[in-house]
Amino acid sequence: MMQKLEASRDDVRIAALAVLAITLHVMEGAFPSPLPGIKPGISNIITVVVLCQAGWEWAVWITILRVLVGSVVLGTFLSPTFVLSLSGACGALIALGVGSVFSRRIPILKLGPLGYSVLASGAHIGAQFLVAYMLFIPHIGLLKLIPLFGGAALVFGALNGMISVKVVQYLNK
Amino acid sequence: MKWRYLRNFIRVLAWSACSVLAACSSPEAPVKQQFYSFGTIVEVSLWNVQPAHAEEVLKQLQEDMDYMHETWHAWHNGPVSRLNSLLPHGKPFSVAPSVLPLIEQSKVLYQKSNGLFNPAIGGLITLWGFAQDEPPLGPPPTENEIKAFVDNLPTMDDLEIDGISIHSKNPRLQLNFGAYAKGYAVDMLMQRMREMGVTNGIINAGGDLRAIGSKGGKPWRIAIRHPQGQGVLAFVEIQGDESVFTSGNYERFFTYEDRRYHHILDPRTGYPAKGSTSVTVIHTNAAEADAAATAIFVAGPGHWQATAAAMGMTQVMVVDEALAIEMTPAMARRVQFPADPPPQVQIREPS
Amino acid sequence: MTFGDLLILLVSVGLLLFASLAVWQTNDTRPDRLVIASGGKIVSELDIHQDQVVEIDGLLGVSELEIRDGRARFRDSPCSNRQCILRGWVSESGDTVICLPNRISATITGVDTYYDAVNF
Repeated sequence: MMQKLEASRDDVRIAALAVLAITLHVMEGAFPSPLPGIKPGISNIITVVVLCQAGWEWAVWITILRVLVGSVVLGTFLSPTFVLSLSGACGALIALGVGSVFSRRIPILKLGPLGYSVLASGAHIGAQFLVAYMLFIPHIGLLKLIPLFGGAALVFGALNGMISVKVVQYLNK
Repeated sequence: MKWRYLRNFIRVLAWSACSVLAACSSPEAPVKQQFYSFGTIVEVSLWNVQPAHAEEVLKQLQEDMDYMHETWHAWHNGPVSRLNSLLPHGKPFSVAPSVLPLIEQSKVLYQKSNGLFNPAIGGLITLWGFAQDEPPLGPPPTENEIKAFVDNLPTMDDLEIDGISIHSKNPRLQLNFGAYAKGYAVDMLMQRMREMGVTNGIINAGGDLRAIGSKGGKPWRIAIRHPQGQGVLAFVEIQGDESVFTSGNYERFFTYEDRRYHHILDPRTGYPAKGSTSVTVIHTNAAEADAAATAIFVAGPGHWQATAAAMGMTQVMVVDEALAIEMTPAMARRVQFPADPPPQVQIREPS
Repeated sequence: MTFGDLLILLVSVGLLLFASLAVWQTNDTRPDRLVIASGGKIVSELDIHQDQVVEIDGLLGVSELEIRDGRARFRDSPCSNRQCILRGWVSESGDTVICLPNRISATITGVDTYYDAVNF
């Protein structure tokens, strides 16, 4: 018997947010970046906003969907770029999960969108370096790039964070 | 975007930047001293040691060095030359305890290297003129002389040890620990350094070195000289407890009638080993690294992988006579080349 | 900005600075000086770009070291095997000429001491 698949309201919301994230991701992909691997990562704004508004599980859904579908759209699915993108996203999501637990349990450490954004971008770049070292460039010289990429992660993480703060403020008006 | 927000953010960044920079002090220079021993320059670098204590340590190391150099010397008067004068008689006699560990470990390493590391060929080394203070002038030994030696090649297996009693089954057996004593000495010196409370430093005996600890948290950066004598071929960063040993055909040699004869003899042929120009090994134990570098050098391009595996070496770099570079994967992960573009290398597993 | 945000920011900046300091070091390895040691102790540091000939006292006697066109060599030495002289000119940072019998060594050092030891 064929069951009728019904989309719940949450499913629809997740799908819509995912599409938004994917769109931002693909748009960003159209812009050339000065260095391979350095991107503003504006779709992460969606991740952080969703985390703050709807919780970690929603953020995970949106982000994973964004990475998977985004890579298909951009034609990088299953390529090394995709592996790095996925690793970064997983690293960021794990860090966000840990961060949100701490945030709940220890009131003084409560994180806002800015903190989450910087945490996510730092974990993202860290996870990418780890995977790059293990799979692609097992050479100590890779570590020399950490300050450069780390700096970019911090800057863009902070910028995205500030935008996220504004978005969350707007949504909660 | 509110400017106040941005301004605060920049303030936070600036404050943290200043505090981190203030916390990080620039590294001080190590205490360095050169000694003349083992027929070469031994440079000791000590990090984070009070000057008064450093003086003490250096003085003690000098004493140790002089003692070991003379005790293990292959041709100066001492326990080894006494041994060599008694061995040809074939009768058992007691060996000085200061030399016994050298002999015992050499036997083990001889086995592991499948004969490529063989300190029992002292007679051959003397034949070639390398067992003297002055560099040999040539001419090289004749084919017949070499053949006579190789046909009845003395090996470490010809030495029988029973307690402190030793005798040789081959009258031509003469011990020359040149390929090994430096490494062993470096291990002993490092032990002494540790006993005296030094946890960070380098002992560099004529280019072969062992380092412990680090330079205030930063790894020691060791340059590997280009085999052709000019500039730096590669460098590695080491810390913890590591030895870097290189055997090269440019260290001791003589030229006769436009041909160059170097001092690393192949026990199988009786002639200087062919194929390699330099071999660099990274390992913890300096004595094993010294012996392995020699054995791997003798094994040469195409055959060194088996020797490296047998001797337990995972980090090896071999430069052949055409200056082509081969290395193990573990070495490839850590060696860095300053030249731009870096040279091509071949990766080979030790097996 | 919450306190938690601030903490994350500070930690991130701290880590970044630490990583930068650890990874980026000046490495001007252009030849700069010739450091001469006799009997293990440094006796002279000369500008490698200034042509000159110096006499250094050693165990056996006086060795002559020459600097010319940014290169250095032993010009004369009281040793019998003359290996130091045969070595010829050296020109790059880290290169060393040694007269073992006379206990004299001369090493070219760069603007920054990039290497802690030379293996050969």
